[in-house]
Amino acid sequence: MLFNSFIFFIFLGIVLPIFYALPNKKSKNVFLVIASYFFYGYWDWQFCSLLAISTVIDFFIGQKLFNTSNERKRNLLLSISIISNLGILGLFKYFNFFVDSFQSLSEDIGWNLDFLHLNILLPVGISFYTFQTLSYTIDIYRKRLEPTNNFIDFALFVSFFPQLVAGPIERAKLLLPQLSKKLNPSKDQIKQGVTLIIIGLFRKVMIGDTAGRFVDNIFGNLGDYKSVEIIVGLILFSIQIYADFSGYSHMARGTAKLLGIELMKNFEQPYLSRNITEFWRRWHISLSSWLKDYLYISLGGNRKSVIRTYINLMITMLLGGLWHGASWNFVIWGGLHGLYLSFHKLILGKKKIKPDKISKFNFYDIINIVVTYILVLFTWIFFRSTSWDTTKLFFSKISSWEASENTFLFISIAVSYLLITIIIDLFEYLSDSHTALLNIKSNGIKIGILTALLLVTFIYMFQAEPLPFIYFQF
Amino acid sequence: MKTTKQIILFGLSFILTFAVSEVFIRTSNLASVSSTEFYDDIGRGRRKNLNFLRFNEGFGIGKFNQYGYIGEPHSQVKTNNTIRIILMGDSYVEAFQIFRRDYFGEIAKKYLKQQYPKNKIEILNFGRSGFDIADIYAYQKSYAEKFNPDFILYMISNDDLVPKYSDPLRPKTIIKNDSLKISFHFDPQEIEIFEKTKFITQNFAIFNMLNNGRKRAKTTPVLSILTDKVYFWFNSEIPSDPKINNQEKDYQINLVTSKIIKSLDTSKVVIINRGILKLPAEFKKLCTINGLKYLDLSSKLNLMKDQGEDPYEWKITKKEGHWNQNAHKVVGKEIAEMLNSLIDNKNK
Repeated sequence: MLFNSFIFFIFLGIVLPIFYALPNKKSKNVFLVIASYFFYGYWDWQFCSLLAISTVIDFFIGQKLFNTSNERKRNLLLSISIISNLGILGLFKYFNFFVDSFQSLSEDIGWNLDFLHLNILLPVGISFYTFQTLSYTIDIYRKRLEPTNNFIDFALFVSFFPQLVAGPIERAKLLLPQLSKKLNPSKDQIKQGVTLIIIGLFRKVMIGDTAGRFVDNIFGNLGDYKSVEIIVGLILFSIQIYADFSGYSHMARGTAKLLGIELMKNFEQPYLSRNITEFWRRWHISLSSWLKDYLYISLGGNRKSVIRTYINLMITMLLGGLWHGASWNFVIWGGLHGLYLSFHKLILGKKKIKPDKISKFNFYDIINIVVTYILVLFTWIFFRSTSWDTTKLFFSKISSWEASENTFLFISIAVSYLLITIIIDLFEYLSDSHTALLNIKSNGIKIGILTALLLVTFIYMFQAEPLPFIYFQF
Repeated sequence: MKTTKQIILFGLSFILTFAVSEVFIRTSNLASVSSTEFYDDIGRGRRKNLNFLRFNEGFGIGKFNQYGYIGEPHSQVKTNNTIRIILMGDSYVEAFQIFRRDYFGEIAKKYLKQQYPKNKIEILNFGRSGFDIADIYAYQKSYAEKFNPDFILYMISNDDLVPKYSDPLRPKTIIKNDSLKISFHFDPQEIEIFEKTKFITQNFAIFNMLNNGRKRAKTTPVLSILTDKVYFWFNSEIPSDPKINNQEKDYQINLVTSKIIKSLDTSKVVIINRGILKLPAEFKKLCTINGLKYLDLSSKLNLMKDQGEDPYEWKITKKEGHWNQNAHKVVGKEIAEMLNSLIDNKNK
């Protein structure tokens, strides 16, 4: 069920009143598990079985891990959790990719591995809930978390519908304690929730989806477009992926708030970053912090030699790229970010970047922001190209420049999308909040703005087909 | 007092947000304003000097010029060494799905320019979405003919052979006293509605989006839009494919259609079947008996399909619709070759 479809709002219109009417914690949580499985099964009911398997395995392994002090047994239990979770993920997401890659290498010696290719569908959001459940068992293994004894609470932790299919990838130590109490949203949470849902929907539908129409047409048929049109297509993709994913994250957080749950922020105006390290603190925060905590640190982080630190960084970013999808293009994307981060780390030396936000932008900051955006934009070429051939075509179209009769139109479109994105981001950046609108004192103004945004978005949605979120495929 | 103030603030902030959204929508071209205008001499036509950017099954960019047709503006006066061709037909000819450079008319023009380097080749796109043969005829007589064409191409399909009179604001080709007549009698009530609503649909993309929603609701059940696949759990009707609609069986030539064919200028008009299905044999016979040149594109379109290149398939949007870019290439080449032989014959 897509957040940007009318059926989601009907679903929410049914779930919320029932949820509010239920008397106690147990009934609320049981109901939310049922609603979450319905939400997930709406794509394909067969996907629910994988979710259930993952839930059962990690619930019992979590308990066993906690009750055992025998190191060998603990290692074995963790291995079972990791192998079963990553095994399911690997089978559905990466098996065909590695078969195809191996096949292209082995064709020369006459091997045909076609029979190994599996005809399977990738379950929506499998990478997200796999990482979420893995964090649970790893944290128990590291003795940073006590397991829950309540199976329903744990099932809800894994399947909680607002963040099930595209995150934020929540940590058990933050989400489980909230689920172990009776969920009772405050007035403020409801106000914030409604605001986040409307702003998120506007971002996703009016900015992300509409930019996506240009992007899909241009990247789907690169050969037919002129150089400037292709560059605008790339800029629009940078807007699309941000609006799409941050819009989704806003909606996920907003929906969770309506149920009395606080989820972590996933985006903090990443395109206003002054360097690549800051970018990764603001972009897909739940994934980057997961990779840092469970991969980079597990590899040794920066606790070993300097060279080892860079190797760890590269491995983390390469695997982070591969997490996005079974394609070498994603690996290159991750690799490029790894190189950027390593280079920045090299320049910084022992200095640390200031996490502070800028209160007044100066010229130097603006230059840094533009340079960082251009560096990130370059990596999006690999992310958006569906194949290596498309990537090569992209570069050949740019290198052999072709003028377009629509140059002015395309540039004005790019400027328009960039401006709306910057305006919304600046508003959030300067107020340090995704719900800055609520700081306005007058209820009339707040409701007026939100009503207009919702109405415009609904009008658009009614006359257009809903587009899925980009990150659902990951 | 406090409540009144809040209501006023609500109204103001609502209007301001609406206006800002409208500015964004217009500058980013995410939706367009209405492209139609009412003219006394041609009825509902395209707005002059209006750029358009459309997303449907494809992605199209173009401009209605100062004469109200798409493409380079050519006035009604034609110079001596110019070969002017007018394309007439429905949405396939108007072609909102592609860029002008990919349009079959442009492809044909490029080809003809190479064949006749000393001549100026002009191809004017007078296609209009929803037109049938009677609309085409009325548009030709009331407007297109004034542009002094050397050739007029009627690009039609099976669906266009019977006048539907679907738009109350279009002139009607009718039979009066056994001869063809174009009636410019428009329903005054319809004109009034158009004039009253045009300010908002021509100036506000949001209202035009609303209008598009209204049109969508006419063709798609509102419940299916709102409830997605839940609707289909309870309603399993499969809509029929409009392309599989062979009228061959009990076909009878419509009287107005027959009169139109008989009255067309055989030295200028070419009838082209633009569909994938053949036109009825009786219709083709009527055209040839009356000395009209006839081109059938169905075999070329079918050949494309047989070779795994569906001319109606839009891979990016995963939709079936109008001709895609590859079909435009094929159609452009076919039309150019036909025009080449017509021009040669004329020059002899």
